[in-house]
Amino acid sequence: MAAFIEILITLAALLALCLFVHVKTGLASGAAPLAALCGTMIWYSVLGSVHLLLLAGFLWFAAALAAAVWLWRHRKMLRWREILSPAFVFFVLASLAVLVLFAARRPVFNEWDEFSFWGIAAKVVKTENQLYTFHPGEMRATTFVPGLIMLDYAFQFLGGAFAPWKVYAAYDILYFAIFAAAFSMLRRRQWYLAVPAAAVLTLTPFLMTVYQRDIYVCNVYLNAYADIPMGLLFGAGLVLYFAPRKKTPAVVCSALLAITATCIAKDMGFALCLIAAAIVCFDLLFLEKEDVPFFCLKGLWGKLCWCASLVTAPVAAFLGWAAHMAVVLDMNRFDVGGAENMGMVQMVATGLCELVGIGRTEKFTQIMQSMWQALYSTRVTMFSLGGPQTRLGRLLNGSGMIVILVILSILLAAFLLGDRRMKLRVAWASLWSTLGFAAFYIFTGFTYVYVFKDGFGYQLGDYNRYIYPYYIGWFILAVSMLCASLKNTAPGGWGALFLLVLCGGCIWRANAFLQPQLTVLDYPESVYLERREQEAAAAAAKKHLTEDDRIFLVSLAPFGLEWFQYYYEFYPDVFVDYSFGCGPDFTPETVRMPEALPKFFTEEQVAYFSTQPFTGEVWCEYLRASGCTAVFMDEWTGSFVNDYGYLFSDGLKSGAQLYRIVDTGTQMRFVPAGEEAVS
Amino acid sequence: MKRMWKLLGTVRENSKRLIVLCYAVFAAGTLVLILLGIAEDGVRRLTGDVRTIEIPGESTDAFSLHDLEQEGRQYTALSTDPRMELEYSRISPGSSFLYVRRVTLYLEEKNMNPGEVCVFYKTLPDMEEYDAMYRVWAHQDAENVYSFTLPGCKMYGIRIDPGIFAGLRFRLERVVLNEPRSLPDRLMPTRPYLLALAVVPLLAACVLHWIFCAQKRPAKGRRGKTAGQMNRRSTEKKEKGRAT
Repeated sequence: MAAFIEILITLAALLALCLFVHVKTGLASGAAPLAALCGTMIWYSVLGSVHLLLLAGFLWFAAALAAAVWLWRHRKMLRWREILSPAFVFFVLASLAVLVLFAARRPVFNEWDEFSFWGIAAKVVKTENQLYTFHPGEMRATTFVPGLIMLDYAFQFLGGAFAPWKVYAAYDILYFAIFAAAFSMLRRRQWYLAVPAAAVLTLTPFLMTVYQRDIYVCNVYLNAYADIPMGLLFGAGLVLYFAPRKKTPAVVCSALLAITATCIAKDMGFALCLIAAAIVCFDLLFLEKEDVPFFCLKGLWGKLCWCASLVTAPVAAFLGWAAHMAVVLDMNRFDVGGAENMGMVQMVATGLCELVGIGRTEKFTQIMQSMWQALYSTRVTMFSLGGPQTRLGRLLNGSGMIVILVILSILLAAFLLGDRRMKLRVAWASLWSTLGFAAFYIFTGFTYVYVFKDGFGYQLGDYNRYIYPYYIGWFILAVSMLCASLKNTAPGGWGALFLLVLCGGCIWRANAFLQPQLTVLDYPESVYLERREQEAAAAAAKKHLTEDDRIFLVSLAPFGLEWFQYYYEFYPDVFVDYSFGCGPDFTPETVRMPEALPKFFTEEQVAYFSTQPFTGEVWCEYLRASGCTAVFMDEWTGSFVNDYGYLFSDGLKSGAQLYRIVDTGTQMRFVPAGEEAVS
Repeated sequence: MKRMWKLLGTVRENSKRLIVLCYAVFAAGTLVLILLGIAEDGVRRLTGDVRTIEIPGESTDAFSLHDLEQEGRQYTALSTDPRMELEYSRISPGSSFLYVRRVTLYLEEKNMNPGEVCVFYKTLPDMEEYDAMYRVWAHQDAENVYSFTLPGCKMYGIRIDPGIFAGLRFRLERVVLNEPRSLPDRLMPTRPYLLALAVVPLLAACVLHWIFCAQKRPAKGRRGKTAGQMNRRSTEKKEKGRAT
């Protein structure tokens, strides 16, 4: 209950900021939450990078309080009819609904990368009240940009304990803010457009990421990965600019915030935010007839300054993080590493040369051919009909090409329904967004050629996850432009019918692919069963441990995910040794890799432990050298008992999970926790 | 009555009333459906189509077991995919189908949480295999009581998957098919219903609004007047009215 109240207060603070922004700048009330959230991401990221995260939180809440006081004192200025627009009402109700749902069900992290970065980083930041780069502990990934983690922190700031469901809530509130901004131009009397638009937009993350009727829980709206938020933020910059008809400085400034937020959502966001910035700049320079002053600069100079800002802000964010990495982590952000070990500029230059035929390699040709083929043959979305084997299914296969056709159809409708100015705007944005997609697609191809390892590159591994962010943002833009065109049409026209049909179509596809019991709405509790058991096991073990303890984790399950899960569970109360990353490779014949050894080991220790077969004696020496005080047993096999069972006082027969290391100097034994005194 | 019809007539002009009407119709429709469901269930029970069947846990012939070891009411899973398939020939001799609306398990786990307890079903006589698309998950009614609500059609096969762990031990007290449901239980809204309650009436109101507006529009000139033009016209009318 306390956690629910904390996050409710945070939401109230956010709403105070939104209303203040709306009243002071004239930004549509439906767009204000997105501007405030993007500003929040940037604010916390900037101050977090210079080690002032706690101050950032206090100042953010102080600003919200000041905004609330100001609003109360000027309450007569508030025009509630304007504030309570369909978009704003949607944002508030959807956010409250998701808070109530998550507070009641308390979902926890369940996916690999949530334990390797997106979840554990949020926990580290909340615990340490500083950016994860400053005190990463045993986190294996620390170079990712901080925008989304900072958004999580903003919603975790109040309250003492970290709650994973608050991370999901923060993400979903950002999603709803983006959807609200996309139809923020609609007023209350246009509710009949706002409702289907909201339904289509809310379904977008499902429509663009689910491509088969799955038998497992679909984790859309229930996941901390950055791909969907990045795609939505890419669309956010565009809808903040294109939704309102009049381009005021506040509108362009809010678009600038969203574009910068895209850059710090995920590394690939840099490419997307530059495309968004280019689309906005071209509209501002070539189509916007009215003046958009940049402080005291007006006319073309004002617009040029805005364009410069739109490009400079994300570039500054990119370079800022590069500088932070260089100073704090001693790493070069421009070095993308990977298969070819290239710098970023070199990768783009080489890719472009090969694209035009200069020095084209066989690998480049093969991967680019696969990319082209995947565009029209790989199922990535719900926009498919029939089974993959049927003729209809092969034609309408939910591939990228079908998505592009759907998006261009929506843009065509927006073009036909809009007035003269809107027609120009839609046509211009369609042109640049299509070219932007081509550029993004080719760039993604380059990453397969130069960054990923050969097997992954040739197979186009995780193809849909790398591509759908663009489709998501592009689709949001198309729906927003359709709403903008429809705003000035009469009710009962073809436009409104088109939107209703689009909405019906999206609901139909979502209904065909999703079961409520396999979505965020009504997932079975059993989906978290194993995670709840891990939570309980870690909680039971913690009763016997203190923060001075260091535990060695044994889990012979494949892939080694359990190490990340238990590191997350024990953090920050007990330190978990890397334990060679767990995994099934735990035999007396195994020779350990030097990278898996603790960083504080001397060269001699590294040389010794990376050449010795990992016998029971060597394991004991390792435990002694690394300072481990306990062994936590998660999963083991019969052969493990044969090889190492003699080290355990109970021969691993008592079912205990936590063993204390009892070391006499000459002999080491592992005794079930709580029985060491007897021993 | 006349007044009610007059009020209903105004929904064409008044969006708020249209929305309220849609919500009212949806809520009333839900209530009617629930009552019809109760009535249909009652009639089917009277005619004997729907029967409450209680299968004791120690029964050895009601289910064919796969990867499960049974000793009286004690069961042990021998793999990660234990199954209990209902033997129709034993439960309903001479019939290839049963009306099963609800399956209730009285099951006490002994060593671990059973995990993904679910029920698979076959809705067609020619379904050879159980399909993952045709399954429901448990709703925990009370401690050790799991209920599964199935679609109300004829069932040509029922399979209970009692857990996802090898070595899982549980005590099955009984399985009840078509356990009667209380009225509060039937009236308790589910999360999908709450979402539908929030969204469906609004979307229905949008469709009706479009129909009403399309009827009002002139046959020619499809673009008609824009919202801005209409507003200007109404403002002018109001001003004129005030002036006179």
